[in-house]
Amino acid sequence: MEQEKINLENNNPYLPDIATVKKIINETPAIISLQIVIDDDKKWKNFKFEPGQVGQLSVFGFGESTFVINSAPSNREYLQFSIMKAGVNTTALHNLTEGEKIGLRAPLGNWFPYKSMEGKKIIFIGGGIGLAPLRPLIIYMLENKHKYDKLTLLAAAKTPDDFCFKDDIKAWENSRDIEVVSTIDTACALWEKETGLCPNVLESMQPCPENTIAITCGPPIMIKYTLEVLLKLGFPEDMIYTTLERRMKCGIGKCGRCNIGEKFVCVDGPVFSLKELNRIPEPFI
Amino acid sequence: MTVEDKLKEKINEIIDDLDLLVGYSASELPLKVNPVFIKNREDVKNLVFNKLCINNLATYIYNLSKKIKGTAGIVLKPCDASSVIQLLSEGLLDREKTRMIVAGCSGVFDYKKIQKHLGGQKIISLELENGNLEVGTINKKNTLKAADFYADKCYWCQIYNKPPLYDDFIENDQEPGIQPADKYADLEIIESKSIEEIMNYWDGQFSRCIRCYACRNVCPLEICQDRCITNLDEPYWQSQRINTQEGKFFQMIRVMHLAGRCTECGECERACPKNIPLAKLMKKSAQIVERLFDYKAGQEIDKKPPFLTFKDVEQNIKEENLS
Amino acid sequence: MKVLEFIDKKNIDTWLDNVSGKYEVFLPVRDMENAVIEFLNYKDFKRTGSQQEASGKKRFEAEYKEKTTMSPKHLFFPATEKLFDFEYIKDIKNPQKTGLELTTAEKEDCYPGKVLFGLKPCDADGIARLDKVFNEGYKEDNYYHNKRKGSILVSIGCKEIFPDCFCTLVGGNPFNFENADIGMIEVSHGYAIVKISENAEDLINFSRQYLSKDFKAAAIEEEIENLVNSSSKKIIQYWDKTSPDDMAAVMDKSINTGVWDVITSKCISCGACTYVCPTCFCFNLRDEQKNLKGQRYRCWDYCMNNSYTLEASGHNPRADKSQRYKNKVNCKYNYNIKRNKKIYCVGCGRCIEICPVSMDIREAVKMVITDNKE
Ligand code: SF4
Ligand code: SF4
Ligand code: SF4
Ligand code: FES
Repeated sequence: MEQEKINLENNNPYLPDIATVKKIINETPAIISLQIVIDDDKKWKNFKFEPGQVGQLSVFGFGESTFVINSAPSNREYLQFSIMKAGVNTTALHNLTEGEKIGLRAPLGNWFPYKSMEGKKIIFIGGGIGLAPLRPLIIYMLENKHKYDKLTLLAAAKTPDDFCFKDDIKAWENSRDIEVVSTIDTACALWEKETGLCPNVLESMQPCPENTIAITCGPPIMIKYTLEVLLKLGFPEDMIYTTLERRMKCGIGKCGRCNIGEKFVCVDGPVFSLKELNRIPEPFI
Repeated sequence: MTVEDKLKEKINEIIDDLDLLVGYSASELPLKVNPVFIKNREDVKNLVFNKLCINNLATYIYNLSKKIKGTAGIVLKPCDASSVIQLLSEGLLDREKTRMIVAGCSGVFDYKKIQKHLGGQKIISLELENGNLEVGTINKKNTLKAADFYADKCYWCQIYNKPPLYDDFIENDQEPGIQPADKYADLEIIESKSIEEIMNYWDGQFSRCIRCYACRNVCPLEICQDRCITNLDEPYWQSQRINTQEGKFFQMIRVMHLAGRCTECGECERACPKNIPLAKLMKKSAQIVERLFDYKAGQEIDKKPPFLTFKDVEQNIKEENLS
Repeated sequence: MKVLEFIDKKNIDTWLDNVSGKYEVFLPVRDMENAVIEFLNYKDFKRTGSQQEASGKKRFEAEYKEKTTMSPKHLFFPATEKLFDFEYIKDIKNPQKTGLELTTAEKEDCYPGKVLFGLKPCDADGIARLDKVFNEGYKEDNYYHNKRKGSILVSIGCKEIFPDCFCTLVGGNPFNFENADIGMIEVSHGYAIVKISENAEDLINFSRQYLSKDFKAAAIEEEIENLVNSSSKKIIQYWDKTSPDDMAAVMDKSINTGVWDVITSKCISCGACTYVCPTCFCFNLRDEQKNLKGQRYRCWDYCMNNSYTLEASGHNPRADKSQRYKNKVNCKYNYNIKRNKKIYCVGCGRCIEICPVSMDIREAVKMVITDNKE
């Protein structure tokens, strides 16, 4: 059989683009961020994505995993992904060095409906690495602040060390455009901000649900309790958004494994409103 | 009173002591029976026990005993009891939580054998009439001599009316009336061939394997199914490709892991949708284990399985013969 | 049904012979020794014929009445298939620099098309279901598409109904040629062709000399009429005919009830039922590498498998087999109705026939329906 070299313009949805790791940042002891650039110039120039969309990163020989693109959509210098070490492929990603090649299939999935959020107050609630899907949206909204009302971020982590994007958080704390509340699970020395589990802190903050959208991302258990609190506070279902995770393989709605009810997380998600989720009879957490 | 009636009577007596009972019920499909899980007295009437009850219900007992708090009752043929014995001897089951209701057996029919005899035609109907099987296929009725179509294991079974272990035993007055056969005859045919021919034979068989793992999951002793290395991403020890080589390799893993454990119930071969003669492999490994360790799986609770213990000197393994 | 063309029974073999000169023909072949029926390339089948003559023992025969053991999906969606090769390129002089190259051998052009002869109507329906998944949706799957493109499905209506057939309960029927390119019905001395799609006109014209010129259409049509009327009646009515949307609604209501635990208790959670099913399409993607070269391939995967949804973190949304079986049945009788408007079960009964513990999807659906009524 004749072997043909694939040009990158192909429409083979399984064939990744080759990208180079430009920079590796240690976010927390278990999480790194990779900044990558697609090798093909034309592709890279035309690359566009929306906040919330994901990409499949391959270390060839190990496999492919899904991560949210957490650099700003306006950032034309690199794409950033944050990776927590959990399985074979994430370990392989952790072992990369700057300059190495990886595969990228992106952008995939849906995104936060930021247009329909214009004119509204937004409260972001992110736990641990759950801050990653929020980051591109926060940056976008800060860049377009005139279109949005008040922005609030509740960032939660186990310990002070476990916060991702520490520089961003610091910068946002000093910004007048966004109010930042940080909390850790249990008290510890030298920590002067909030202490307590994310849902509890949220409840004590008593955010007013009027004209406000709540967006929450984090580990399943945190999402579960945060949603309960939000409902208790009077947020309507269609004003609450979250992102979900499932084991993914194809990322294009073919391989069948990422379903929650009739929805495929890879194409119908990862962003869902609570209203959509409640319409699926199968429990999503 | 038939053995089925006696069995139901017994179960009626004890059902209140059980959390759950696993038994057989009739199926809409010809030549098959249904495993059923019952809790209530009114369901006892649906139970059956006859010559179609080929399934080995011991398959369910390990998972059940993990799930329930009280006792699980399980209807077993004497040969199926061996599987439970093996699990007990390996310390995988709680004797207290398992109530073995063993029914005497007069042999079970092997529907695959019948189907193979008919050139693989689909069986549409079945009737048993004075020693003959009336098997309907789409073109005609076939009259077969029942005595030829028992499951292989029935031809060398010695325990059909004396189970090695039970809590309740229901005697069966009906004699099997099966001419005993030489257990190893088919192995001898294969082993008389050259290595290449043997390899070709198995390659041909495993070219059909689809790696559905029915053979693994139906096995009463393979309790490792959910963690089986063959379909885990991590560790990635076996390729997930579906082809002859990987099918064979997977089966080698199975055989090795069941050496000294397999009680030769034949369920793997029965379950295989592609009719791969897996029982031959299991029989061979059991034969080797018996020769080397004087051990037959599923016979006594107190005898340690050879691969669960260590001996300084093995009587039947001469070191100089190892090379 | 109107008879468009007619082939004499004695001409079938020569007709296939002729067609296989231009197309890649597959037909169902029974392996009598191993009691399985599989689709085989016509040329390979011919070869077994001559081998048989040499050995004097008949082992293979064409089988148009019974269903194949496996569905024909593997002809378009192979059990294992390479997606691409990758190679790391290392430069000894410049160890800092590494390269990476991807190559795929996918060919766009797939002439001559495949002809699948002797499909059951339900098999053709199954392929139509797969077409929806792979050819439509978010992105087209080129690997499937390249194999499927130009293929011609020749379906033979079912005169014989088996105890596990239930196509009429899921919107099909034994003489439904909606998704076939050529529809044929066996009558007393030959095969009546009652459907020829646009796709198949070339094939018919190519082999016209084997078709009968004069046949008694009226008599044949009457025979067909009788067949059609009698065959559907033989199918066991597990439930009353329901529209796909109603079916989905019924399924929805039972998702969080205990009925699934009862239904699933005897299931052993293997993959046999999904692998034989004409509409199951799940797969896994995996990499394998040796030294600097490797391959990414895809292979069938089954949703009844515990590690199917096991995440690297250890979290498993479907850790219990009842959750998995619930998902499996709902995938067919609910989720895919919402996604693709069709019940993703064509009633072929393969899963029922091969299940080692007599799980019966009809029973499962029936139990859900009755559970709903209570
Ligand atoms: S049951 Fe048969 S086809 Fe399935 S994995 Fe086992 S040997 Fe292979
Ligand atoms: S339904 Fe039957 S074939 Fe399917 S997974 Fe369960 S036991 Fe296996
Ligand atoms: S679910 Fe069973 S009956 Fe339905 S199409 Fe699949 S194999 Fe056939
Ligand atoms: S990842 Fe394959 S369907 Fe969603």
